[in-house]
Amino acid sequence: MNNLKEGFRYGLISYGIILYLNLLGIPLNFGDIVLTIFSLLIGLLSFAFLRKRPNHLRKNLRNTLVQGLIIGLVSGLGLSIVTYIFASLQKDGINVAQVFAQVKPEHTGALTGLTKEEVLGDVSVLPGLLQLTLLFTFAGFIGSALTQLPVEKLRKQFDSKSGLKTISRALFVLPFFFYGLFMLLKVEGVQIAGTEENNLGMLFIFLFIGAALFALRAVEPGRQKSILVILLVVLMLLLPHFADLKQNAILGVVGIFIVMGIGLNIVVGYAGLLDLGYVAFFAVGAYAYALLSSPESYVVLNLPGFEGVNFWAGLPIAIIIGAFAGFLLGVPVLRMRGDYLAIVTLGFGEIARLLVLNLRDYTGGPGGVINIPAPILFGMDLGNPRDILYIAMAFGLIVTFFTVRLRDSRLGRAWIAMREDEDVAQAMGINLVAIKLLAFASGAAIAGMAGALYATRQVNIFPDNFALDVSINVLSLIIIGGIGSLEGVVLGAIVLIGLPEILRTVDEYRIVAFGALLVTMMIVRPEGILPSTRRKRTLHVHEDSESTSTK
Amino acid sequence: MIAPADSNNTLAIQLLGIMEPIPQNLRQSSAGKISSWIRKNFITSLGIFIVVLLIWRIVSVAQQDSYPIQYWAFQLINGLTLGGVYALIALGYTLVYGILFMINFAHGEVMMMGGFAGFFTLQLLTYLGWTNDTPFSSAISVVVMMLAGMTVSVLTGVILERIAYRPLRAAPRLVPLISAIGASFFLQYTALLMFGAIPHNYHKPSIFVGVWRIGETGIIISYTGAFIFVTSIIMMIGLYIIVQRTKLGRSMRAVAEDKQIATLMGIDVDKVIVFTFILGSALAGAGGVMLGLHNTVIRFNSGFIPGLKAFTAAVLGGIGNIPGAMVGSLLLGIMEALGPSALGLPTEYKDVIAFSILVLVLIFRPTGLLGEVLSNKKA
Amino acid sequence: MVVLSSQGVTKKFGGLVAVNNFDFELPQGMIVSIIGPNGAGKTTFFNCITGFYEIDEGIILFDGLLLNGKSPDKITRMGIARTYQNIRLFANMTVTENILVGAEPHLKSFWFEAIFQTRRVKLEELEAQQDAQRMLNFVGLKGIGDQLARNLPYGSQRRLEIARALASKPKLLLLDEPTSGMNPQESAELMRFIRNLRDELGITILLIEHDMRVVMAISENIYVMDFGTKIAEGTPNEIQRNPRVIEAYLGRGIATGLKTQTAKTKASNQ
Repeated sequence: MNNLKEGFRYGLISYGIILYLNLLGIPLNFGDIVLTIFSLLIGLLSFAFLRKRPNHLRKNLRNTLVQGLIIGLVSGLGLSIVTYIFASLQKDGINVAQVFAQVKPEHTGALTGLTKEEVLGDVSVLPGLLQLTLLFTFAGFIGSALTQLPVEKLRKQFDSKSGLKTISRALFVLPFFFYGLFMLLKVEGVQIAGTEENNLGMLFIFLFIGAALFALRAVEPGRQKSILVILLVVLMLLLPHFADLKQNAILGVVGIFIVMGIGLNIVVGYAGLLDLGYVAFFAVGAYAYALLSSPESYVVLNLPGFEGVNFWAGLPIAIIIGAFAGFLLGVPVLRMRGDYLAIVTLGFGEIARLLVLNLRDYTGGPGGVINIPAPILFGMDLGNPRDILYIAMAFGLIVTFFTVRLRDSRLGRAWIAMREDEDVAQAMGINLVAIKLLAFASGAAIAGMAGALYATRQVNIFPDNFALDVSINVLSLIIIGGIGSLEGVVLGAIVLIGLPEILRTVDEYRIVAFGALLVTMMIVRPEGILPSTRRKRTLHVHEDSESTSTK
Repeated sequence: MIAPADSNNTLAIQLLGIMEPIPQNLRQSSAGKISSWIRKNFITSLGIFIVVLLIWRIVSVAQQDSYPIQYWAFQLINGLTLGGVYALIALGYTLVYGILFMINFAHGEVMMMGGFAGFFTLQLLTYLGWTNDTPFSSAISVVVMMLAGMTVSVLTGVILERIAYRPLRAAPRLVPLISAIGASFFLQYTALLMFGAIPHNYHKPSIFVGVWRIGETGIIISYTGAFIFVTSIIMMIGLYIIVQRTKLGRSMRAVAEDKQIATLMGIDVDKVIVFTFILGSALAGAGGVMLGLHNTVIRFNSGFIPGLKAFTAAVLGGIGNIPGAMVGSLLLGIMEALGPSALGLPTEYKDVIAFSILVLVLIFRPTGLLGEVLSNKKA
Repeated sequence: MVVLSSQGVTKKFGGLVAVNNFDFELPQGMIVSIIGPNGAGKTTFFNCITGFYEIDEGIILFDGLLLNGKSPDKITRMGIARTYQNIRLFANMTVTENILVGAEPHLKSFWFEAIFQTRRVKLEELEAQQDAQRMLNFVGLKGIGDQLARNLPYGSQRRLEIARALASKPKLLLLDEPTSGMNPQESAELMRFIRNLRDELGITILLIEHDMRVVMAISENIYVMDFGTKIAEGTPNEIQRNPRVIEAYLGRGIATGLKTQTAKTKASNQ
């Protein structure tokens, strides 16, 4: 009896998830395959719920199967009831979409195998719903049956030594495999999985970069590693040549975010100063270059004889102004800690955007700055996505170099000491004022650099490009990647900035998925996907230090 | 080996004379006193300087173009109304911060969900004809709408706590904050997808249509504004009583003080935290409905900026401090409403003013105007 | 030669006078202890010396220089190092890194030199590393330089904290209850170690201690504090016979205060 109750509870949770996705409009946007998607999901949920129960319960075959059936039945019946209500309302001519925007007749139709006219007409939805319920019940049953597979045994075999060896060998090969797939798509007439869309090529590029990062981490230092590094670098440098325009454009944005991520990593990852207004410096850099270079900008129009600077002259100015802005912001917040710092920097970020928006005379207000010139080197226009990507890669390497040198220096140690315990760091003779300002300024300088590149890439910039979500994206990407870890920044940028770009087809769902991903990551793997080795130990070994070490 | 006690003084004075010039604060000239005070209280002096500058600006603007008194009164009432709504949201931030030391970044979205629920209830009641039938039914429909908004917000808040925050209670501070940011995105875009991107317009129940005119002064108070202000004050008083007088309120304060000891005293910490989220979310739900009535529209992103402002207000008053959140919110509402005109700036600058106030307050009074109460243990 | 002296030092927290008109003198090369019941203001006095608190009245002189109003980092650079009652290491840094942070006052390179890895930086880092190794050997933590500080056993953490303080090559070392949480054998070992510091390195040592056996054995001079005021001063023998001291301890019902009184309730007292 108790077991039935348990199954019922799991069923309700599954039903909640299905209902949520239903209201989110999955049936409307995916059409006929929605039943397959939902069934797979039910099977998966049933498997997941029933697997984590204690062993003696799981081993009880009859009990498990019954629970699986209940899970499927409850979800199916629940969804059927809701759909029936919606369908009746629709038949009565009430527009349900006024409340739930996605629940249109087509939506109901996709769930019941009917057309829009049939839903609105006299055809009953009940046969379709019966089919749906049976399908879900079956899926739940299959899911529960799968729990009886000897997964543990398989995993044990895999975990043994030979398994590990296989993994590390696979890691070594994997980046080349993905690169190969990407190149294969370039060959005329080749299709993979029935598609030759360039999105797939983009995906392979991301997989290549991701796999390369894992491979680099897995391989022990030595000759093998050097060879791997050289090979990967060469492939990476050739990549922009093989990629098409759109792919290069996407990679360019990813690159700019990587540069910013490395900068914010100094502030948050090393110095432990939670900055939610990082976009302000990005905006400062972008507008500094834009205003100094665009023929239509306030500065150029109002300074007689001033034609505007080129990119290579504007870049250092943008960096310096960025650093100065970081310094200025740093001064008032020197005494603040933790959450106050977060919220004040958030305020600064908003102030920066609102000022740009409202100082119409100087910044162009909502009209932005247009016609920002492209970088020119030896007479070559480098404004196309491919060359922008090369510049971004160069910037990425330069800031990585700077960051690594700083991190391993006396200053880097002082930053980390400050992150660990501000009072003690000061008592060790560290000048907190100096190192805090240095952290803010160097982070901001890097953001200014990224901003200038962004401005020249976009040609026209507007205040909306510098909204709060940029700060949050950058922060999220360093956290997803692994705070304090430079490889993590790259991986985080690919996951958070790159992947959503190729998922534009399901555009509306990507931010919801992104939010869910952030929450899930924090619960499952708070140290990030590729944590810095030090940080990894922090978060797992001793999680309550935060509360005890205060005072 | 032991130095006689007297020799301390002589030796110190000798050394003082030889090695180091007498410190500034020991000199007795009055000019020196002032300059040393300024140096010692640099931040305070800077604050005084800024205040003087602001007053000068306000006075000079007032001399140039003076708005009629009715305008100021209108703006003040507007500010109080807005402040009332902010207070309801700010209390949620403060309660959660006081107990968990975390910024519930998704609180604005919890409010937004309540606003949507209130909107749909309103639609339904309008469809049923309650809202415009008699004053009594209209009043009932307002109550039902508020309750619907509060219920949905409470559900959202509790689920949020269960899924996104509870597993992270022992984690370092950054972790729940990121989780909260994720939850905020999730809720916002869930609302976008479920309810569509178009703004939904609140149709006011008949009881709210109309204004009071105060005598011959020309000052106008809308029924909505009055309702919002009075209701929010009543709710705040209710909350204060719950926290100060009831057993659960006592448990809340105990948990805020020290979770471990509270557990030892037999308090179910989980239950208390859930209760805190229920309280905060209920107020936010009410706030969401009121904001809908005030702005007459609700959208998927309606919660974000008010959420930020409310947090600002909570910090302004001193986070973790319940009266602080109320005072901070009303102040913020008023300053936001009066500020642009008083400083001779376009109204678009009201958000800049709000955030600048936050920054200034934190610089000059890092613990907020009324000080932190619950959170005195944090680093 | 007097290294550290204070005159009329007073520190108030709101209405509470934590340190009241405290006169104090510490001659070069001596080991001096401050004792007193819980909440007597000993740690507060430490915090006043190191600049963590700004004192309300009085002056503190170190090497003839006024410490009033100086920030903690400046004071450390002048040659005062300290340890904490509840160990405060940089828990997620390695043992070596902890010591390198301690050596901060002696590092001279600028951050932009680090970017270009100038010869000076390389040399300085190398020397600092070698110094750190020597320091680890000196305190008996040889060979564990790459471990995270948090993974060390308690006794080693105490020693690492002292090593970190010594890395700044201080003239004066402030030890806040160095033996708390140690068994008698470990305490004895630590006492020898502290005496060595003074004998071999010539460092003046000021300690706060609760374990009376340690205090009486090691101190050359003792100050007794109660309610923020100095109630007695003298050699261990004199202190043991001083009626006011006995009253302060026994009269307040802390008879066990004469034995090992550990830091259970201390956190709430300062």
